[in-house]
Amino acid sequence: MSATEILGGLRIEGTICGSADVVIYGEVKGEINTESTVTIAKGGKVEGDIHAINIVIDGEFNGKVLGKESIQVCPNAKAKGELKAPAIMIERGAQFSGNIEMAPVAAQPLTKEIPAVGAANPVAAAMPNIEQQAAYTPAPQVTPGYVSTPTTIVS
Amino acid sequence: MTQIEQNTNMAQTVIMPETTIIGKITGVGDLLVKGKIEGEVDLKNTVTIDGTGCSEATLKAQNIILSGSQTGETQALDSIVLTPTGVVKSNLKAPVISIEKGAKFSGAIEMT
Repeated sequence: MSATEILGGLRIEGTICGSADVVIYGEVKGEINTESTVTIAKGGKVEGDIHAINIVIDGEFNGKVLGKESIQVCPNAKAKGELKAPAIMIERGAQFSGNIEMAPVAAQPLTKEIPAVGAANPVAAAMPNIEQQAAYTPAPQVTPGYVSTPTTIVS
Repeated sequence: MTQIEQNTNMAQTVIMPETTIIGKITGVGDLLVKGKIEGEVDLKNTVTIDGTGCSEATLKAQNIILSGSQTGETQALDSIVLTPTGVVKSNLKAPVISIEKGAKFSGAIEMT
């Protein structure tokens, strides 16, 4: 499925919803609520809440993110706020301040079953162990161009 | 195919069929709406409502091409074109306005 792409010169104030992937190179202020992958590209700026399946942040973000599967904060990111998802990755170089909660997001009617914790689910199984998490690469829902690299969390 | 429609080869913001945007869209750049928009659009360049697109927004741009559904005020600095698949209930305001055969239109026209 092709993605909705919001190019650099555009500014949107309001709500974006739907089931298509969204890639933001411009500015969005408001709420993004999709059943898909939302990517804030390098140069992109989002202020507000994001509810999506996977979120990739490589630009500027200020707000609350709820990811049903994962949140990835890339090296160019400047993020501030709250992140909540079963899997959260912060890559070296990313700037982040705020709260992180690695937990399943409240179930909402989805087309597929949410696997039980402890089942053969690499996301849930990897959670307590930082090394396993570093080696974990998310399901290939990341927008092309955003190749995820193994993460190391510097303690 | 008008000259303006050749813009589809240039990079433009595309709102896919499964996406809805409610609010205000402003800035510089072309916009192609294949999904749904509600609210207000005020862009410096060309706004195209595609065949699958549905707009319930006030549109203001340099050029506006309506191939889908548009309800709301439509104002352009250069031209407004309704293509054969356009279904438009709007007041159109632009120096050049063209309604192609097959387009459905109701509203007022003002060639400024």
